[in-house]
Amino acid sequence: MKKVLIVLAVVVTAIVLVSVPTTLGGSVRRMIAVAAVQNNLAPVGAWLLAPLASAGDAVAQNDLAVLHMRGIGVERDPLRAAELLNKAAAAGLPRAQMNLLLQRASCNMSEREDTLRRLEEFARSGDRRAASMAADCLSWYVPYNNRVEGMRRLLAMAEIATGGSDADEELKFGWLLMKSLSDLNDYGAEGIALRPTVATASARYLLRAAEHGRPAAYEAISKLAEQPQLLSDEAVAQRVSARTPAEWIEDAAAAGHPRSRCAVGIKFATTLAEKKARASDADRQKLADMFQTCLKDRDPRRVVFKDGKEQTAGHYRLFDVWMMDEEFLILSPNYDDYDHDIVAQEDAVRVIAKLARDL
Amino acid sequence: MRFVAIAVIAAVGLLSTVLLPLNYYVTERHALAQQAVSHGMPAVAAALLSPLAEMSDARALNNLGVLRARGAGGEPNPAEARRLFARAAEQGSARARLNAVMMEHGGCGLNTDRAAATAAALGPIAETDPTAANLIHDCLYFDATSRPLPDRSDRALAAESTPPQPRDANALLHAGWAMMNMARTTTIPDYSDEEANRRYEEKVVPIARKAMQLLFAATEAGATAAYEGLGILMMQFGDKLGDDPMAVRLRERDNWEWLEVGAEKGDWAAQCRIADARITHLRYDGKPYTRDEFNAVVAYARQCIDRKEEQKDPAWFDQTEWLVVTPRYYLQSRPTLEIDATTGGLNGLLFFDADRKMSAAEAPR
Repeated sequence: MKKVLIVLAVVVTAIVLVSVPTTLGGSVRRMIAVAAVQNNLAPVGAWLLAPLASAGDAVAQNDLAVLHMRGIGVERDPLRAAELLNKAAAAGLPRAQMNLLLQRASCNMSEREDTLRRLEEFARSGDRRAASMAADCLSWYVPYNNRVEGMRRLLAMAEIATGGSDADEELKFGWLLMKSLSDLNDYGAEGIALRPTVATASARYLLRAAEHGRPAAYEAISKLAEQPQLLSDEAVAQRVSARTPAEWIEDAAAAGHPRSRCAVGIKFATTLAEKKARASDADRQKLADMFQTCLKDRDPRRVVFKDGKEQTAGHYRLFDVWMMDEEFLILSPNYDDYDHDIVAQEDAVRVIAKLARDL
Repeated sequence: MRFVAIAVIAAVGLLSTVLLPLNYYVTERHALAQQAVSHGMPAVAAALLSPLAEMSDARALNNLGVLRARGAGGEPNPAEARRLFARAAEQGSARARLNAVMMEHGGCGLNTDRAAATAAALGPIAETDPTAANLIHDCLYFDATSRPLPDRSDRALAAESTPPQPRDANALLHAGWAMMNMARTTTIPDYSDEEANRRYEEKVVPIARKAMQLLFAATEAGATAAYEGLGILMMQFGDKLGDDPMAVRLRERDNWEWLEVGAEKGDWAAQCRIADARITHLRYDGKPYTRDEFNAVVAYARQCIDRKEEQKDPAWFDQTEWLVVTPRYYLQSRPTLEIDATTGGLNGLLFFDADRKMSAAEAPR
């Protein structure tokens, strides 16, 4: 119902705006255009942006360029995209300058150190998406002999990216830092000395992500709970140590985390099977619930062959990050899947099904 | 409309064939049955084949058995299918023996014990039915089949040693790639172990040579994807395949040149891969390029992206004697992933080129 109302509001406002001169209500037009794109009405968005872009509105030029580059709502036209993006960048719009940078030299090219340095500049100027993308660069291509310096830069980007309490960024940086802990062991005293800072920052982001409704955070906290001595902040250490690693996984499962529900499902089925007696109806129901999530919940980004072409299994909310700000992004930051593990899921389903036969 | 016309023709054909004595127009009755199946009317095909099967016509017995096994036009009836295959086999149908084996042992999937058993049972049939050889390759795909069948590679070679009749391009391509993959996935021993290396070469060279023969035969039969296989074979085994004219011919081109031949002959995936490489070269080499060079690359990429043809994938009823399980042929249809990659690459190149021109125009003179 809410969605229908939004769509109706967008369409009605768009019609009203067409009847007044283009130069009036530029910011309202832009807002409606962005709302249209975000609500699956990209052609309406492009239609509203076009006159603004022609009138020299840099944000509209940037957004229309992104739509042309992606071929969404308008014809795919890289030439027009280049023209619009250059105009917006020349007008001094930082997001357009960043989009141009990403299009000219992405992080997998030889100029990546320069790209990274400029992304960090955009981030320090307040662009949180730039911080998230700089972190992607840093996590993919840290020079072997510069790991400790890279980790410090990653910590700085984490501060910026999570500044707006974005739960997805909190989860991303919490996991990213937690997974980087072991790498620091190989970089001498300097690397080892940095581990408590990294572990504590990771725990802070993960606890915040959990509070903001990201169950995958509990799973990562369980890994920090295995080594609480690393946490340099006493309050954070107390919160992490308040539960055992297994209990954190149970929390994740209870919050609906598919990968943890597989692990807890196996453990629960094993316990029931060891009793060598028929399980109660409540226990059987609990196991069936675990089993169903473990079996059916799959990564929506998984590529499948459907209707004669390759496509993803479902829609992934974070696919749309590029259109979430008023100034669109030409590329999206990377968000790993911390919810699913197809191999572990298939193994778990087999084990649970085998054990369930004896219950 | 087309469907109605076909249905009317089928009905008229059916009536006229039913009214005529059964030993007349047997070939035409079979052709009509095949048309009926290919147009989604297996019940009509079954009605045409049943009286011929009653006359112990081997082809009709086999094809009716396939319809029963697949449940085409009704519920699957494995018992009836087995009975029909047994009767067809008594009449000398190798295809019916093959179908009976596939029903008995199942297809060749992830259960490597079952796949090995199917391959072993198909071995004798490959002498008379070339499709059995392709199914054997599918069954022996996983190295794990070496456990129940330690002579796995010998069996694959044996399946190809007595080609009973000319094979079509798809079958040759499939067999060539299968043999090449078997050679590529054979574990290479430590270079310092001379004895192990001698044994490796003894095992792998005959497989690679057979792959070369099959892939060259596939190119002659019109399978353009075989050129890519030749390139891979040249790269990995070119120096091991001897000095006979075929091996010398293989070594006349390197891996990339064979792919280019494939693209030139029309292999869609090869065209896209070459387009992608040319785009990368222009965009990332950091060297100046002329307008003609740019236009040539764009035009080449467009050939990959805008190509419209849809090739028909092989079906179980394509051959005169139908199949319960079809081999996993390398399909030559639309290479979606390659097209997507080229589309993305071209998009990036067009942006890059336009952006470069704008930057050059704005640069201080």
